[in-house]
This record gives sequence, structure tokens and C-alpha cells, in this order.
Amino acid sequence: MSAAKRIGKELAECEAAPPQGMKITYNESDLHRWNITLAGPADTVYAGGTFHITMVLPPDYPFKAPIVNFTTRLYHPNVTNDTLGNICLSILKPENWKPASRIKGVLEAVRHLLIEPNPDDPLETRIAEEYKNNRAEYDKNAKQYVDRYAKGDAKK
Amino acid sequence: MPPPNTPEEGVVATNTSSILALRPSMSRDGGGDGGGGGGGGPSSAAAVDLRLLEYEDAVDENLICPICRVALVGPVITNCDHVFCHRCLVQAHALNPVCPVDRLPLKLVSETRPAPKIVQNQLDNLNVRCPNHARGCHLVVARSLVENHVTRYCDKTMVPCPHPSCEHTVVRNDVGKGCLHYDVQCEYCEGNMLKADLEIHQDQKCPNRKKDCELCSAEFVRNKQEEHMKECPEVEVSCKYAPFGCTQQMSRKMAEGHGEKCDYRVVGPVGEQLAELRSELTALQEKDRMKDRRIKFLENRGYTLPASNATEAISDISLPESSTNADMAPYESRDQYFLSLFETMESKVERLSSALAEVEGRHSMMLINETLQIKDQLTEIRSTLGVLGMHVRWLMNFRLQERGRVGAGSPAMPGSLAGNQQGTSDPNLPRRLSDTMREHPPRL
Repeated sequence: MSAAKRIGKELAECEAAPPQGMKITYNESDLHRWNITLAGPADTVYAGGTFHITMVLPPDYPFKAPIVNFTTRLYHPNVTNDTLGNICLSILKPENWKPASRIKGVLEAVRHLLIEPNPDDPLETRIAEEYKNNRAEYDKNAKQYVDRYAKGDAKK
Repeated sequence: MPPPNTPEEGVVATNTSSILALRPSMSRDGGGDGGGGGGGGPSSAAAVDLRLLEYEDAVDENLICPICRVALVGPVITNCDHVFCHRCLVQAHALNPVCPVDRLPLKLVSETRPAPKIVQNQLDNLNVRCPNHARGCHLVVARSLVENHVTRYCDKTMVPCPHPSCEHTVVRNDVGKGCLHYDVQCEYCEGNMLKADLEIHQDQKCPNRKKDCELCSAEFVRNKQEEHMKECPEVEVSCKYAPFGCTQQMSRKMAEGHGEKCDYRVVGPVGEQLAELRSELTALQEKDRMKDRRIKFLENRGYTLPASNATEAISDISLPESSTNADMAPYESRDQYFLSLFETMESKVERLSSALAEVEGRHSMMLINETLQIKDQLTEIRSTLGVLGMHVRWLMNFRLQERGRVGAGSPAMPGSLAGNQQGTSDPNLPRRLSDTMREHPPRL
């Protein structure tokens, strides 16, 4: 019950002042599953794209970290380059998660990851290498992905 | 939905001894927080879960638990100066033994303590809505008092059904209505439900609960039809001057306009004044009746009683009839009358006795004066008597001596010598005199 209470509060908080570029939708019958659309931050390779994110809050949230995935494919050193879209985000790791962290913080961290990827802690080592050594190639690939997956009526 | 890791499970799994050690200190110090909530774990499940309360005002960010994001319940503070609900901290610690804020290693027993009293007092003073808000209790009360309210006083608290074999619960308000747990059909949606739930269903849930007003086409809840009828603008009402004779009927919204044109509107103010005067009149009549009653009462008490009974007694004491009648009027009761009579008598007796004493004193003074005079005169007379006696004795002696001298042939002394002779014979005389006096007492 207290989990539901906290989730409700955080939801209200995020709706009142959503993180920049984000829109949150949810199903009232299951507040543990949020759908988020993120507009690619301007001045990045992801600008112009619309990225769908699902966030699942475990039953014992906030004691366990939420699980955040990109459902839109994107070319990024810290996101698995597949349909799962797992994200490597330090604050979501079990050893780093703390109950005092908040969803809004998580979402802001996700967005920040698009602005400043972290190639030193990669999920996709190949992309990370490319990001570090051949930035032009990385930019080109990333934009290609955006055009292919994150434009218009992008799949959910 | 209940989280799978209730604090108890987590405790048993990981850190039993430390929790058990912390808990007594909590229940001791957490006494101020709404009763039982501070104990965390099992006891807080008792009546009111303080975490689920709705707060009337926005709660200060500093009083919010970083874990559950509601106002702290049974606050504990860590050595790194972070404050959490006791239950939240235990739960978080069971998964990861670090501070949930700064992730520094944390020992639950030695490195946490109950939050300062000032924090607990601030939490106690937060205003919350009654948890039975949804069922219609709109009370707002300090958090520390809410449990008492819910368990003892709130009419909307669910309590066991009064019927002994019924297992359901019922709102405390409806306990007197007997068991309401039988199936009824909602007349609007034909759904089946328990009688106890019918009212809330018809007020809030029934899909057909709303109805358009036939007259004004506004939507209202069927159950509240009567309330709507009181304000529906299309309902037929009579003119507001109806008491003065207007017989017209019209819809409520028209009535306003009609009121300004009604033929009876001139009569209205007069009628109002009339009504005012009438009410004044009844008030005055009432007053008058009161006064009449008082007068009658006084007459009965003060006047008729002595007239019938007391006059005999008075005549016994032989007081003048006229004065008693004059005296009697102001007395309220017979007893008082006699009492006053007694008092006047007493004062009279007193006056008499004082007068008597005065007279007595005067008399005795007079007596003393008289007797003194008499006494003086008496002594005077006595002394004259003594002098006379002396004279008589001298004369007697003189005679006796003369007789004796005549007897012995001695010539009688001339009168001029008598003084001398008396002087010379004096030394002998008293003895003889006394002798003779004894033998021949002088006759007065």
C-alpha cells in the first residue's frame, strides 16, 4: 500500500512538472508501468527523434530500482542495440540504487544519457569504441537510427 | 497491493537481532506519534495506517520520508543525520545495509536513534483528513488524534455487523439499523448488492444514478431528487404574495419577474407590517397574562390568608384591628406575618422592661434620699434627747441634794452658788449619779 502511495505521489509530481522533453502516460489500473515519450534533446544526434521508454516499478519499489527500457531502438553506447533496449544507468544498478532516489531523477538521468553518453561504462562496447575514436561515424549511425526508428509514427 | 517484503520478513531473513534491539527503543520514544504508529511493523497495522492519510496542507519537505515520500511515521535519525520512517529504514536496510540516502554503511542498532522530540511533535501536529473521508466523514484533525477519532468516535468507521452470525462489517452509524447484509436490487441499474452498500452505490457508482430533470433538463443524482426539487428553476411555485391573496402559480424562475408585477405587491409591505404588529401583539398578550398571574399569586399569598385565619390570633394579642390590617399587606406569607408580629412584640417588651428598670431606679433613689433625711433627723433628736436627759439628771441630782441638805439641816444654797456647788460636788457626783441612776432611772 505504501508503495502505491509513493508511486501516486511521484506520478503527481511528474505530471505537475514533467522532466524536460518527456510525456508520461500510464494505465490507471497499473501504476507500476509507465510509458514515457522522450523528445530527443536538441543539439544532439538524437534531436528530432521521439523515443519511447517503458518504466516498470517493481512491487517492492522504492526498495528496488525501477526497470527502464527504451522500446524505440537507438544507437547509443549505453543502450543495448536490440529490441529490448536495456539501459546501463549507474543509479539503476542494484548496488547503487537507494530508496531515496526518485523517478524524476531517473528520467532526468536517462535524458542526460542521450546528451552525454558514458562510453567508459558501456553496454555496447563496439559503439562505445566508435564514440570514442570515430565520432563522425558514430554521429552518422546514430542519426540513421533516429531517422529509421524514431521518426513519425514510431513503433512503440 | 502488499509488498512481498514486509518488514517482518526482511528482518527475520537478515538482521533479526538488530531489529529486535531497535524496536523497544522505538516503542518507548515513538509514543508521541499518533499512538502505535511509531512502533513500526505489526502494531501500526492496528487501526489507522498513518502512511495512507491525506494531509490537509502541504507537508514541509523536511518532514517527508525520502523512502515512502509521505510525512514521517515513527521517525528515526541515522548517525549521518538522515531521517526516515522506522519501518522504511528497516525495510531498506534489510535489502542493503547502507543509508538509503548517502549509501554509507549503516548499522541499524548502534547508528540510528529515534528522531528528536521536536520532529515528532511537528509530525503530530500535522492536520490530516479522517481516513473515512470517502465514506463521508469530513473531519480534519491533528495526526496524533486521528487514531482515537477513528477507533472510538468516527461514525463512518467500519465495525463488525451487530448480527451475531454475520461476518461482514458495517459503518458505525448503521449499527443501530440491524444487519444490512442481505441482497437487494438497485432500482436504477438492476444490479445486485448488499443493502449496506446500496446508498453509496446509488449516490456515487450506479451507472444510471443520474437523471435529467423533466422540467429543467439539468442532471441530478436520483437519490437527491428532493434537494433538486427545492432549487429546480422550472418547478411550479406560488407567488410570494400568496398569503395576501395572489393565487397565481408559476415556475420558480418566473416567480421573480412576477413578484415585481404582482397586483398584490402593494399589499405586501403592509401585510408584512401587519404580521409584525400581530407578532408584537401576541408577545404583549403573553406578557399581560404573565403579569395577571403574578398579581393573582401575590393576592393569594399576602392578603387572603391573614384575613381568614390570623385575625383571631391578632385579637388574642389584643392589637388594634386597623393597624394589623395596614401592617399585613406587605407580607408575603402567614409565617412571615407572625414573625414580624412577634418581633414588634419583643421590641415592646424590651421597651417596657427598660422603662421598668428606670422607674425602679428612680424609686430607690427617692427612698434613699428620704431615709437619709429621716436618719439625720433621728440622730438630731437623739442628741437632743441626750442633752435633755442630762438636764433632767442634773435637775434630779440638784433636787436630791437639796432634799438631803434640808434633811441634814444645812441651809439651802443660794441660786448664784449653784454653779460653784455643782462644780465642787462634781467629783463625787458622777459616782453617785450613776448609782442613783441605777436605782432610780429617770422617767421621760
